[in-house]
Amino acid sequence: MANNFFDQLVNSLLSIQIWGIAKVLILLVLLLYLVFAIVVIRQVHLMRRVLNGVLGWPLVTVAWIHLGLAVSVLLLAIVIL
Amino acid sequence: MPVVYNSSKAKPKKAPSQPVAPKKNLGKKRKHHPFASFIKRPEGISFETQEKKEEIVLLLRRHWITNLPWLVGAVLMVLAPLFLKFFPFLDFLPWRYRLMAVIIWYMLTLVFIFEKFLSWVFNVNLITDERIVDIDFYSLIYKEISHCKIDRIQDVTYKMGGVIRTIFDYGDVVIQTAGEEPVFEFKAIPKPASVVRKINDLIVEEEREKIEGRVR
Repeated sequence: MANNFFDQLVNSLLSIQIWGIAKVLILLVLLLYLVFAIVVIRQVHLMRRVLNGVLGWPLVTVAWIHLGLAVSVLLLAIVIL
Repeated sequence: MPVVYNSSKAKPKKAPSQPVAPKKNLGKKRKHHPFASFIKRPEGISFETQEKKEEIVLLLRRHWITNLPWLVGAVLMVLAPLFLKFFPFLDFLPWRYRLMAVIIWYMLTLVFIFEKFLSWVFNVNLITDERIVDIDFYSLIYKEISHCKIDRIQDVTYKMGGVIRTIFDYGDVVIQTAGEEPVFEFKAIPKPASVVRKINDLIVEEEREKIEGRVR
């Protein structure tokens, strides 16, 4: 019974492809990057509050574009990997 | 009978006026280049802890030339994927993974440039007519804002050495204070001599205000 279980476990582990693991890791990294992109937006807002009147909307726009890119790349990774 | 005195025509007597404190001569407010490192009386800029009547006399940030090292790094990062043609060390990957690697690399490059730029733009030193303010953003979530009243400044010095600093006229201004933060260091700011002169002028002005009893 125990031998059977371990055989199944080893077989299932061997059947996992290396690229499958790579995909999961890449998606995890991109997910963390998405969180980071959200933090960047928050950071820009905080910085603008501390020092108001310095390059207001262009910086916010760049931060939002960056978040958009992070989302797009995550979706692209889900589709093509 | 001739009218000797008509009270209705008499001008109302002015109330004895209070002595008005003369405004400090801080110079004209002017429009500035958004990337300037040395801005006199910047127009349209305020900071979080600014008081109502407080005016920014100087806004200082690191000299633009100090951005050169990371700009060179950024250019190299942008060009790096082109070298994959000559050094194909990602060739063992399927094309989809190679594509993702390049895209992730460029995203990291973008965020590197953006973070460095943000750090340069928002790490500023302010000199107002009442105090000096040092705004530092150390990381994404950590900031430090220190300020000291002009009348608590004890000593102001500046350091400028080296070829690049001499050519581009920038250096460090060290301000010793009697406040909680004993030393303020304005690093790599342009025209340090004029900054020191301006601070000294403000100290003298502040002392004069104290003597004349017009301290805010």
